[in-house]
Amino acid sequence: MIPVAKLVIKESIRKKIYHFLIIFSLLILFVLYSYSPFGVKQQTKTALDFSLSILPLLGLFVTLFTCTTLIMDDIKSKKIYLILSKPISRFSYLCGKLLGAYLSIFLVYFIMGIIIFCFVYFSGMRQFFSLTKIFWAIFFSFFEMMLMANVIVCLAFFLPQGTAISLSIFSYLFFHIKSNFLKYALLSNPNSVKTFIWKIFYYIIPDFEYFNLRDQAVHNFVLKNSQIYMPLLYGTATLFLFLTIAAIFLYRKEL
Amino acid sequence: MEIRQRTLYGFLIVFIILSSFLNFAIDNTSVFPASRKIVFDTPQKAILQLVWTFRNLIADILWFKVDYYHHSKGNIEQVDPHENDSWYSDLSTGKICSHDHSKHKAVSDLSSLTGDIKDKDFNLKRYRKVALYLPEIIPLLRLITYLNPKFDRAYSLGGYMLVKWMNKKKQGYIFLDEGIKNNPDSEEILTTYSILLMIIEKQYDRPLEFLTRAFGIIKSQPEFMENDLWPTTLHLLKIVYKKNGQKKKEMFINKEIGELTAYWLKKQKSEEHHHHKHEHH
Amino acid sequence: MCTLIRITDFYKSYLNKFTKTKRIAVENLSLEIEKGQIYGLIGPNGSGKTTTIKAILGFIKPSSGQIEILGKSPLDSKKNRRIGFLPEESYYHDFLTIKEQLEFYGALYNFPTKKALDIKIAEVIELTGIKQYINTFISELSRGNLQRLGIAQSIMNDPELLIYDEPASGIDPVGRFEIRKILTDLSREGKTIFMSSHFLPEVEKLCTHIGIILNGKLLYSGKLSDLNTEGKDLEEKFMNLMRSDSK
Repeated sequence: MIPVAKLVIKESIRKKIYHFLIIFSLLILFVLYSYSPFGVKQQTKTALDFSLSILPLLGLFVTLFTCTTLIMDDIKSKKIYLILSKPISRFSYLCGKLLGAYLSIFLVYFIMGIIIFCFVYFSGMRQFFSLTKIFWAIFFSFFEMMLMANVIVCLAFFLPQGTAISLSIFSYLFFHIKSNFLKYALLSNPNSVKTFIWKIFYYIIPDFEYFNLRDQAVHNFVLKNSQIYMPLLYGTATLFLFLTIAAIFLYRKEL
Repeated sequence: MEIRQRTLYGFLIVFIILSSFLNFAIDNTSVFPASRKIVFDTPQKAILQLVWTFRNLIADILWFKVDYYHHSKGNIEQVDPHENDSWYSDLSTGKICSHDHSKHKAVSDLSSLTGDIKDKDFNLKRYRKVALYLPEIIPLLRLITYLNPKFDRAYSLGGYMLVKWMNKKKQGYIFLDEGIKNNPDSEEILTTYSILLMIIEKQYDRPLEFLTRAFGIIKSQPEFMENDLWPTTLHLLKIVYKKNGQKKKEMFINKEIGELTAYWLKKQKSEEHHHHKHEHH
Repeated sequence: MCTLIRITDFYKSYLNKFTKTKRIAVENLSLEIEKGQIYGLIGPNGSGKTTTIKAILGFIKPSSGQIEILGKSPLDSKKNRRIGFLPEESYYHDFLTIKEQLEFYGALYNFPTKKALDIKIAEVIELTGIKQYINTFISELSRGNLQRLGIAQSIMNDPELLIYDEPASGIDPVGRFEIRKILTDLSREGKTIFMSSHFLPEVEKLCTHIGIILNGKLLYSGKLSDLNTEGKDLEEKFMNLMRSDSK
């Protein structure tokens, strides 16, 4: 599992698009921070809000480019034959690939996270923000991308690359607005059978809004312990759920 | 790790149940406040919900646009119809709340305040100048608050512009009420709302409620002395207490103002000392 | 004798999702490969050779029938410790050098130490003649050298059983000669080789046993010498079998 993960990281790092995305992200942050004069609370707040909001967007790009071809590229180019003919199970191979993808995404988050921390720390407005809350906001954004990596891998199994990318973006948006959307559906369907079916959907479909702690970080709202461990538990269960789905797809796949 | 396909189906059922249960648990307990989930009821809101995920990002970009209008198409501070209104200009934009910290001035300079709020010199000429870009800003602010109901600055600025400069009192107060509903802990909206009620409506009951709330919110912050709305809140409260004849409370606020003044004087002194030392070196 | 591969009534068909028609890839194939044999599975393109190999390695599942390899199920990945495999066309990670690629495959075999892995890599690149390209990126290698790299990775774990799918396909005569030499040496070391090919002179020179497969049906399986009793060469016999089957 570890050698496969290492290979994924090596592949990401040697790809030009990965470098481009990191440089692009840094550029955005620097432009943004140069716009925000140090020592002004509201400007710092807006700049932090913007940074934390753009983080998942850039994270999603990295996740998309890493994960849409993560396994299907190996299958199409037949590289997988030489890997799975070694003593490594399909499950370990999948875990290794995903672990590598997580670490590649983590690298981007790590670099951007450090810059955001430095910005807040040296802004002169540190007293208005909680670095712990900013950490959790960045961590959960990364956690969300780990989940997205699993979702994208699942979709890429049976969809062409372009469609998989589009559907992944749509899924990401839908997993964020689903509670609003499905609650509307629940309200407009007073019929009890329909409501029951909608409710099942409502709880099975992942809710990514639980991983959104940006408001707590930016506005320094109260961050309860339960707002950390409950989403963490929920996210872990969902992560394993999508890992299992991806594993079933891979096991059933005729190579 | 060798896992059989049949075992995977077992895991699938377990994780579906587990994640649904946790989803249910988070949704039906008070982990996150209910106000986080806004159910859309109009087609416009429904479209905006589609960009819900990146709403903060879009709201921030729009705010940059507002900021651009704010600073380039005629400076709001320069054309503020109340720039001659001693207490207002002093409190909100002038000496204390200046963006530049070095210009912080002792609050005691404002001791000449009588508490009489003057709002006579509504300058039509200046209003016209502001009005040039207000129609562009207001929809932007409306959109920002749709996208991010936590954007208290947008509520505050929008409310102020509507009531003060556009004379759309009803809309402005509704906007500010919505802002307070979505951000019950925003000292910014509370003080802006109080200023407007005091100046325009000559009302002191609701401002008393709002300002007491703002007082509590700011005071609970670890470094509340640094909060740029702290002097404003204190002085507005002082005025309200004076109007209501609550002498004891007014004295208490005076004490707070004294502490704030001492804090800034001390800070100013230490900065000057530091500056001298630096020059000496 | 020890049976390394046992295939019983292997049947594999594919369903076309659009036309809903069934295409039979392999039909009731049964064969056994004993230790020490060099078994050549021959047949024209699309006859079911690669499908059989994929099923032996667990890449695809039989529609019916049973396959046992080294006494285990093809789906058991632990069996791969004792197997070396070379696919028909080997694709590698272009962004790696030969050394990095072999290190990656070596890591999958869990070599006890880095030193043991380095020694093994040095040994296999020496044997396959790609020593001078050790630090060359894979994207810069010729077809022949890629095939040598394929053989090198297949023998890294010192396997008992080698499964090669068309090892000489697309290689020039010199390359074919060298690969044949490597395979003969490996056989002498006591390794069992199961290979598929449609290049009959190659099989004739190398294999001890052959299987002839046509349209998914195994027409003959046994010793090469038993097939070649009437003084005809393999090509002629193969053509005769094909003709009689089509009748």
